Amino acid sequence: MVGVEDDLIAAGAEIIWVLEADASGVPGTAASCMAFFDQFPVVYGITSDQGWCVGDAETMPTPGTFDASPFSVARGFDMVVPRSNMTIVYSTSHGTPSGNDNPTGADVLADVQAIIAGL
Amino acid sequence: MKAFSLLPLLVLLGCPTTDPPPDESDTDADSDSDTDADSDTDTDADSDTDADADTDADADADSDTDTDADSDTDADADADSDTDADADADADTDADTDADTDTDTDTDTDPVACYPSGAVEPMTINEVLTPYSWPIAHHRDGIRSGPLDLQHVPCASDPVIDWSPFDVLVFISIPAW
Repeated sequence: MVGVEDDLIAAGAEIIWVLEADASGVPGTAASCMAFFDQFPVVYGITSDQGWCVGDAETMPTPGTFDASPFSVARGFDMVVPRSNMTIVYSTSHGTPSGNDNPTGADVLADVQAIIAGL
Repeated sequence: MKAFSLLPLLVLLGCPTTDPPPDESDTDADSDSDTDADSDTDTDADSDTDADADTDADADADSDTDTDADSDTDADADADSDTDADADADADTDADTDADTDTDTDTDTDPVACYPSGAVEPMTINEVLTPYSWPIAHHRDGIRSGPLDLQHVPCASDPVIDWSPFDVLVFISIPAW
């Protein structure tokens, strides 16, 4: 069965998972990112056998940059960047606190496909 | 009184009474001899000129000899030009070294040159993303691992990750709690 992640790849999008912190609040690493997805194979409707896993504790030049992003509303966020200009053209937020957009995987896929079609 | 008495006596003795007539004949003889002397001098001058012409002919002969000597000198010059060819070969070696240096520089510079300028911090919509990097990244396929540097993304020059099949990157930033 083809999942949302396969449709993202087929559309021409590569996924980069950035773990801000683990379940204990410890800043994320590439290793803890992999462990998280092994424990929770489906996140926001997107299965986790696609994309690259990195940890925000290892973000250079400034660790914690994604956790401190203005796109985040107390929790996580998504953003889309075309390779051709490396400009942020899309952002959405997700998490239990109020004010988050909380799109589904299908919503993100539709937005990405529209962005690629417009390049 | 005595003067009148001596004059007839002198006439009778045949003594010349004036000097000019004998002097004029002597002058003519002298001028003729001078003219002859001059003509002889001119003839000698002409012969001297001929001698000069002969000297020129000798000079021509000498110049022929010099030409042969020059030919020998040219042969030596050819030998020198062979030495120059060797020097050119050395110059080619230098050019090869320069080309190698250029190649190394291009390899190191390409990712930086390809990444767009004007990145904004903190990250902002419709602005260039800072070229973040991570010392290690793991692909969810459980097979591939390596450093991830966004500077390589625009040119797809990453030695580990092939970005070329993708038009966009989707960052999904998540907390685990």
